[in-house]
Amino acid sequence: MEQTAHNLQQQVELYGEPLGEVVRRITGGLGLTQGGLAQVIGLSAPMLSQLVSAHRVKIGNPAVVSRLRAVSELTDLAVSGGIEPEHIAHELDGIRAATGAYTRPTTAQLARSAAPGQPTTGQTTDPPARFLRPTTYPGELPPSPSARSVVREIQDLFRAVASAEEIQQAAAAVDSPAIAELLLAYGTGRTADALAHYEQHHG
Amino acid sequence: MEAFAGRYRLIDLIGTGGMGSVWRAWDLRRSAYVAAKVLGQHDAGTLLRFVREQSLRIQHPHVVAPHGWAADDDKVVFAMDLVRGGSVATLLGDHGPLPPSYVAVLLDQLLHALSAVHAAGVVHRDLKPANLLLDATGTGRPHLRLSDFGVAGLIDEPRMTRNSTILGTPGYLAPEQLSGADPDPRQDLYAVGAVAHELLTGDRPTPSGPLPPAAGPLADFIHTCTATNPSDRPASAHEAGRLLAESGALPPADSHPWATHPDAPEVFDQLPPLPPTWTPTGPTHPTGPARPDGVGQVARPQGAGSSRPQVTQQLPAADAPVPRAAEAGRAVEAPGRRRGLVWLAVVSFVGAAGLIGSAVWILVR
Repeated sequence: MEQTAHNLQQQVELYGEPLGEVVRRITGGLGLTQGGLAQVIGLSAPMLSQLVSAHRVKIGNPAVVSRLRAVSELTDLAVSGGIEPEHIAHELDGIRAATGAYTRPTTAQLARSAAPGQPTTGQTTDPPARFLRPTTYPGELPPSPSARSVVREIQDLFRAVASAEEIQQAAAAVDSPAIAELLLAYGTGRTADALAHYEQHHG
Repeated sequence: MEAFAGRYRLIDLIGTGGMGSVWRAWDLRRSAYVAAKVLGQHDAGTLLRFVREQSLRIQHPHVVAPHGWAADDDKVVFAMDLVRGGSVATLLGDHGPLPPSYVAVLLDQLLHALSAVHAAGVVHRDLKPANLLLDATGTGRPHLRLSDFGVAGLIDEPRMTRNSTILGTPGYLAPEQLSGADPDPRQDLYAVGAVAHELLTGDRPTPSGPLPPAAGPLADFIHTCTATNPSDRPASAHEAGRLLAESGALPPADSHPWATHPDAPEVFDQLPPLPPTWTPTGPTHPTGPARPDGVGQVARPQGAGSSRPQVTQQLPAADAPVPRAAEAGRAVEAPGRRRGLVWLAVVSFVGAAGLIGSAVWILVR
């Protein structure tokens, strides 16, 4: 019991919240079973169960962490209505296929495999990570976030500084049609429209 | 529930691969649970030949080779020991990079398996983490079992055609395999090196280009095994095992240096609970002699605590339903004939009912 409490505390330190809560939020938000989520992020069902119950603390595979983060973001998107429900399965397929290799710092990898015979205890090569919530990136964004998450960030930025009505007025006032389109796409439009704009102009 | 070819009752799907599917099954003849690999006839050729010619010669604690098989019109089932801990690929998914001492133990067991396989004149040719099964040993010493001889080849036997497809998995294949070389044990040793690299780094070997140099005590072992020129590799699995022992990464037989690791590797029991009609010692209601039907629908009743989808599974239709039971060497009653009889009975019954109905109608009219 005490061990579990200690493990939960460690999960909060590593991931910002207990993994059980992360998993419940995702399975509830996306209508996935725990086994279905395990399959998407590339863990075995027994391992995910051990993590959820805090019998084990840490996700050892960095690629799994990055896929879990992606599913967590997708959940936030789905709950806020930022993605059409019929697109969720497609996004999950994309996450399942992602290797997540880019998230692994090469030095940490070398440090781990350089320990001959006796694995280092208390190794802390991983950066302090509170990344399961999309709003709490510790400065280093993953190099290639999905277009959708970029668009969502831009939309959030617009909505933080002005209402849709103000943006419409501003769009009507500018001379350049391209700038007016930009303002309307991210400031007032639906995510799908903004995404279309982003993909058209960002290549 | 029906049994495949009168012998294997398929219980639940436990894996799918490029070729066929793997089921937990009950072997009526052995009265034991087995893993049953179900293949279409045209995919089964190599394995069938392997089973008939080699399987009995490769009995080894670190090898899972088919110990029985059965065929009907269009499918072949190969029965193997049921291994509960998933594969090394599962382990990599759960843990990412593994401690070198743990990797060394796995490699040592794999090389012992390969020694036995090569001694029987067989080259595996498709070594990769997904084909290295594990017993469910928890945090203890792992127990690896080499599996899946679907593309195995015989040493000193030239392939029939030079232009046939290259079998195997890109990234683990030795360079000369890609250019169509004949089976050679050193091709398997290349794959051992590639697998070792993946176990230490968590990175799948890329199909193009050489492996990036590895660090740590196993670096030399990996470098030698994955030499481009086969003659620069260890001459045999035994020789590679000696090289591994010299690396110093291999812990003594009774020690578990990885156990002190806070996230020690753990091999879970990956099989879901049995459906309610099954107990660990077999079916709750043993039916009489099973009917020699083809593979049919296998009901999977709701099992408490299982996170896997609980649906009625049906095996995919055969790709090439050409009757070849005779070629398979074991005559099995064709399911089509039985189906015909059932239809005849149904039609007769409906006809009779119609006649009676007509008679009644005429009488009461």
